[in-house]
Amino acid sequence: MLTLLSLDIVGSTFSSTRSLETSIYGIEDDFDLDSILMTNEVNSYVSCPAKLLRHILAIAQMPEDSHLDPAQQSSKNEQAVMILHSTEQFDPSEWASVIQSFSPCHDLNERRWVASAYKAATCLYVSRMLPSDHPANYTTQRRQEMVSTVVDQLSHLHPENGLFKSTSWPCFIAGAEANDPGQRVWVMSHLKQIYSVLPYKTYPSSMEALEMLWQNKYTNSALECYDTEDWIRTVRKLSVDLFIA
Amino acid sequence: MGKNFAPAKLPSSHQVKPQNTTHDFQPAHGNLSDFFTRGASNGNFSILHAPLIDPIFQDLNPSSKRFLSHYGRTFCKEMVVYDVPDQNPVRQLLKYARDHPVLLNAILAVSANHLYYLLPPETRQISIYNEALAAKQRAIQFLKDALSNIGNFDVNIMLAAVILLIWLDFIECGKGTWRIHLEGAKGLISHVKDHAGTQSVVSAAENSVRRWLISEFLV
Repeated sequence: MLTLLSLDIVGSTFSSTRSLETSIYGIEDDFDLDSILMTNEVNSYVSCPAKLLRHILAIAQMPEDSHLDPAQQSSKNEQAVMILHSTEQFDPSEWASVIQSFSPCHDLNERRWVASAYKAATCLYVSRMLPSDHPANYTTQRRQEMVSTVVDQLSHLHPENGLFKSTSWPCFIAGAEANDPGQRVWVMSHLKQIYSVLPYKTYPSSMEALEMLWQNKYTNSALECYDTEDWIRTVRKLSVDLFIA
Repeated sequence: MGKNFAPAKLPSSHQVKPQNTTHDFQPAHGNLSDFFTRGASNGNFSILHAPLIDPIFQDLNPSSKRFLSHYGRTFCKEMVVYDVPDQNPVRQLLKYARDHPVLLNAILAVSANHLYYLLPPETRQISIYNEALAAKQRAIQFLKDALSNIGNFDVNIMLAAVILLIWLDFIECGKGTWRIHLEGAKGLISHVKDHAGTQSVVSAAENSVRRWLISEFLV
């Protein structure tokens, strides 16, 4: 059941069909959900810290902007800002230390690198729920700094490490947000390396989606970094229910 | 999380190796966390500590034996971070496979599919792919049959089979079908919750699961 919930949460981030109701899994209140996600985070394939997964879930459960009146939109923005701030306060080092107590391996550094990448990627993801001109949203420079964080942290991981396969989600987000050609090359290389470890077509599908997004940027040549359309909505508009995890 | 202990640990270089090696992950000495146990127990599976035993492979054809072996030695490491012998809940599904054809065929399907794509394109055997497809179709048929008589089937076994079918889609495509399987699983969970202790009753949840199965047949 926990595997299904984790897949549902992560899968909802870029899926065109989003109907994430935790009550289906027998989870009726937030406290139970947090405990349950924490139970699964040690050995879950997704390897995303439970607290960040919880924030991703909260975003996934938000209604579409087109369904909201101004007051509801304002409320949604406030909630997104709260989630963003909470995500920014997440401490990857502290989390990695706690997880180490339950790990059969000495992998404190690896856990910290992956958690740091997930934190930066989750911040980028959550911030996309805000209007581009919202005061709490990131500047272009700040956004690129977070992309660099994802790239730097994941660059430490060796492909033979057990956590390597679990880094496609933050890697994809970094790729979608990256303006620097060198970082885009790194993202593609990282996804190809994951594909060499796991022969799953989901990785080539992710790379195709990134190529499409980058081409979209180039067609908006008037802007150095496109912000005319939310890339997350672009991926969802593909209607292919892309799964990246 | 509740538990606190200090087992002897392995260096991180002893992490699970990629599937194309024969490295065997050794468990840490002393007591291990019960998180893996808890992970398996969430599916209400009892924890069995005996290694894989030959009866699983008896009276199966050579191809099926090969796929089950591949599943146990290679594939099931990929669904977890730490592959601890006797504590990997994915590997432990093998113990239930012989008694539950839906699970056996889901395992055969995902393992054969995984093996097929693991091989370099020039060495892939279409016969393996065809066996994966046939096993997948059998698994879906068993799921369909189970829905008609849900009171006599272990829902957790069915959900385990669905998770494996989701994984099969990650391997084969990565877009679209996984969502169908996931929504079908959620419909199944919802149906069981709504009709706990009763015989199968036609309901909105059951209809959504049936539509999911029917769409699979049409594909």
